[in-house]
Amino acid sequence: MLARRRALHVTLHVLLVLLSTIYVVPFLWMVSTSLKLSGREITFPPQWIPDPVVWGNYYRAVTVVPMFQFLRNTLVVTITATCCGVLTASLAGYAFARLRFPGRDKLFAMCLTALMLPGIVTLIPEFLIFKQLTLLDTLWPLIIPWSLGGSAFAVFLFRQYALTIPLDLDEAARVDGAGAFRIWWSIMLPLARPVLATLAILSVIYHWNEFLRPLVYIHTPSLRTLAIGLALFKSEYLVEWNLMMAAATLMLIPILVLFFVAQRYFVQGIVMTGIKG
Amino acid sequence: MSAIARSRAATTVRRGSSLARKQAVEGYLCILPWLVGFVCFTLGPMVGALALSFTEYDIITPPDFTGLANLQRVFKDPLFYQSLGNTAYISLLSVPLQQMLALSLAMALNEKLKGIAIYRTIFYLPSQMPLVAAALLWLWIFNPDFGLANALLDKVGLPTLKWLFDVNLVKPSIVLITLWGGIGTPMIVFLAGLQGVPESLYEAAAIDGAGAWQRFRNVTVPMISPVIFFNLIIGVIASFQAYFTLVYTTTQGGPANASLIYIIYLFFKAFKDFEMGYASALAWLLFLVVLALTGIQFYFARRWVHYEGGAR
Amino acid sequence: MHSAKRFSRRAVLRVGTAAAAASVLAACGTTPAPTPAPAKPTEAPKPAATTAPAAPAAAATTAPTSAPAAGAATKPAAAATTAPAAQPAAGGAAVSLRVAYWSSSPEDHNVFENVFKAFNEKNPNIKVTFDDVPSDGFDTKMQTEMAAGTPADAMELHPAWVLRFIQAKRLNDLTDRMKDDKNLYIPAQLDFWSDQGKIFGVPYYSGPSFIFYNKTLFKKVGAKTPDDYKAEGAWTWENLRKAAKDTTTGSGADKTLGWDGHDVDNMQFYFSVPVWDNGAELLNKDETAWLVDQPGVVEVAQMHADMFLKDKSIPLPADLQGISWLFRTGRVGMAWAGKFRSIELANADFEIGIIGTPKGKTGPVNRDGPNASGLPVGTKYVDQAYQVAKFFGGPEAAPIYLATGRPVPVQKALLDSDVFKKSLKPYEKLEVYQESINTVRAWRVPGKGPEINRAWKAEWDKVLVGQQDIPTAMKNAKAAMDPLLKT
Repeated sequence: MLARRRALHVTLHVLLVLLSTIYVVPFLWMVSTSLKLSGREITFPPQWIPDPVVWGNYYRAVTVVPMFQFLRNTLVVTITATCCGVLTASLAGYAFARLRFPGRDKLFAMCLTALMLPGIVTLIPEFLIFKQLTLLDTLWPLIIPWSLGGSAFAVFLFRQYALTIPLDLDEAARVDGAGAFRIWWSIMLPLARPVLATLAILSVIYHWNEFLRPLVYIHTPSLRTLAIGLALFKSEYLVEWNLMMAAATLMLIPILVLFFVAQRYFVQGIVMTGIKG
Repeated sequence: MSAIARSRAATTVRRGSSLARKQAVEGYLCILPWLVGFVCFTLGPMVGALALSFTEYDIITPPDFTGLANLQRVFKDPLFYQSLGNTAYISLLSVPLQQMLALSLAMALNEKLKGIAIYRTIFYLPSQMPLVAAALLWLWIFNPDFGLANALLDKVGLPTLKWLFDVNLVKPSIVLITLWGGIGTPMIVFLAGLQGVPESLYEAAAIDGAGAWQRFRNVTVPMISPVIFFNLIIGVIASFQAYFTLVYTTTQGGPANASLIYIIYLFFKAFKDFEMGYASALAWLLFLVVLALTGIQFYFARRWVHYEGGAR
Repeated sequence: MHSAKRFSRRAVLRVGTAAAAASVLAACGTTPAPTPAPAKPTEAPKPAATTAPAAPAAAATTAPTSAPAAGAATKPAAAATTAPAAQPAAGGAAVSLRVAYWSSSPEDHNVFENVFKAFNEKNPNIKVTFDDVPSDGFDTKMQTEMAAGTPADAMELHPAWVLRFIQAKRLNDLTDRMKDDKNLYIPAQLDFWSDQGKIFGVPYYSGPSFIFYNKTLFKKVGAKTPDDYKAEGAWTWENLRKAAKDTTTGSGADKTLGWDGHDVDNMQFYFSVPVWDNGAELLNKDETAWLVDQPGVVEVAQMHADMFLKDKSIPLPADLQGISWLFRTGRVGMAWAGKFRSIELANADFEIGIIGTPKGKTGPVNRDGPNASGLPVGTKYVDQAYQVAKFFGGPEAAPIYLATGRPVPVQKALLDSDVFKKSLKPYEKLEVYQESINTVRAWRVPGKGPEINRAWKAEWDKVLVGQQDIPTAMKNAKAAMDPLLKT
């Protein structure tokens, strides 16, 4: 048994190393490009180790565009929208999975339809709503819709996950007199840690890279977000590859670290041990 | 399997009507934040777009009501059919491949391997890269003269290809890119789902003498079927709207419209051609297609999706 | 048994029918309450240009956003339309303007900032905020803002889509304001922004076409250079083809290509030039039918197809994937360019030559990719915005903007100015730029421009992948593009 397990692990390592090479190559190319001299990013044959190595690109990338200012705005949007979004989405997902109320399934179907209409055609109506609310040129249009229920994606995922958790648990809590909110807070959320981590990561990545809404809603330079800053390195005829890739690499690092830390919530066994008595 | 059956039996509970009322109130309260957001920022704009689909609207001047003219036009528009076909082609190829790859990876990354955190991070890396940067990198990789893809083919003695500038290869090439960039999300969703499978079930199955495939088939699949179902639903919905940045940055729909996917055509109509009314009609048609596909999946879900704790 | 069962069919279908019902309602014209403004009853399209239906609404939201310093500016929203000009002149609060342009790089961004800063210094009562919109989303943002009645006070214009905004009456007619200033500009530069004798844009940037060539490569293969041909008075399209063939060598990673003229699938900005030089026309006089299937055009198209497929001296689009400008890599003999490209050549490790457009039966005639400032309808301070726009293309901004070496001047007097001369790098020649800007022919693809361009490109794609020959492609292109001439 043990020997078989070890054989399995060795095979897995070999396969994973091979496959992860493919997955990491574009990233390495990005880092390599970020260190090249302006105008010399593309050479024949491709150059993997830049010569010379221009570390200054990183300094220029964050200074020629005020990236730190943009970072602050991006953080405000990302953190607020993610925290509120994950909470409200899990609440709604829990209700759709566990509570019975008239119209539940119809409302849930409505929830799903939100994903089906391309955002391109709802952009202008949405813009007009925020104009009515006099919230143009603020960060609110980037925060509010996601703070109220996250996204249909999040609600749906939490619902699906909640449906895999055995009912006996909340039955027992109900007998003890706990209400829905108590059950959500003290039973559902702790059990759903993997899915909460998933939702948080997805939300962070979404807000971190979101381009269209900040583009349309924000005019004031000091309110811009990182994704807009990144786009400033590229225009129709001219792309500053090295600076753009340097900025992209810097943008990637925080979420990379976040994922690295968050992935420990995906550990087999921790969550469900002891549930099945 | 016996454990599942037991828990099913245990969930049959009857409740009094006052309890039901209390639960209804709780239910509405729980969904309230979502409902407010949905009505104001999703439903409102959706209805707005629906109204626009019956107008001629160039965005910069007020819309003119034209009734069903847009719809009549859609069915005579060759690019509508071509772009829908391209999208269906890419979806049909990419959704199953992505799901299979994502599930395999999630299962591998659910093992207690050394350096598992690094593997997980690497496989999720593509999903975190800014899309524009990722798309540009793939352009370089697929460049026929000095790209990595052809260099590789050349090295192993195969003829080189034109990749994104080949009418027949452009769609498979895009699918290839989506296998790189599109599996991160389904993968971590699967990974989260796998956490909910109790170890005890595997142990019980092993004692019953079940092999690896049987354990997968009889324990893993039913236990994470709600999550598989989720990924399929989302995968199909997304595949009809996704890849915008990828295609827009790489081929812009070319060559000769071979990679003109629906969402790109929609965008051209909406913001390049000043035909937002027509674009709205296109969008609502897509909505109906996706709605139908989702409905079909829900219909068949009862045959294979197993819910451990569904409220009835 | 499972909740998904019951949910599935009925619920999804019912939502579907609800949506259908809503659509019927909408079709009847009773737009439901949450439906936002775009479905407002169509105003009588009288002289909509100056009355600006969206103006009063716009004032409420634009002013506070763009005027953090001047709260006073928000109040007289009603008065704004009557006497906007008198207000700041009286020495009151500063007027705040938001101007939207796209910069082509962070350095370029700073140039814009500095131009507006210089303007603020000269005009303390007009405060300009620069909204640098990434070019990828520029039109999306401009249109969305116009739909909401909150456009910028001045916006960048591009000849590829300016006609649409003019014909929709979304840009202020500047003919009267420019009465005295008109003569400052090179006439073709104004033509790009004019329609039916009226002017809608104030030029500030010009990039007429010319050619850079790689002297090192020509020397290496021992070929006659464009300047050699020019000295003989034989700098023609025929000889360009010959020079391109001479500098096309090698294969794979060693490949060099003679002529980076791949932009032939771009009708307005590339294909037009050799056609005009050939004495032919792309469109009939009243712009109702394409002439692309006529011999003069087919001839030019055929020459290019042969250069792509037989001589292999023009890179195929596939070869250019992921490269913004192949010439910079040193692998190209000659390349079509605008002046802004000269900046990219700063680090080039080869010697650079510069030459004007070759001649054909006539010519040379040149294209241009200029920019101007448009002043959207529905803003409050049109006079002030005009001052900004005029400042940008004029001598006051020249030491900042023209000095970057990116643009060719749009005003006649600046063509000979020291600022312009000093902006030239060693490999640039004043006479090339002067000749090219003076031979610019202002032309915009009429009708459904972007759609026409896509149709044209699709037919070219099929030629380049070997699916059809040129005569067929030109016939198909005409068939596809003729109906698109009507808007």
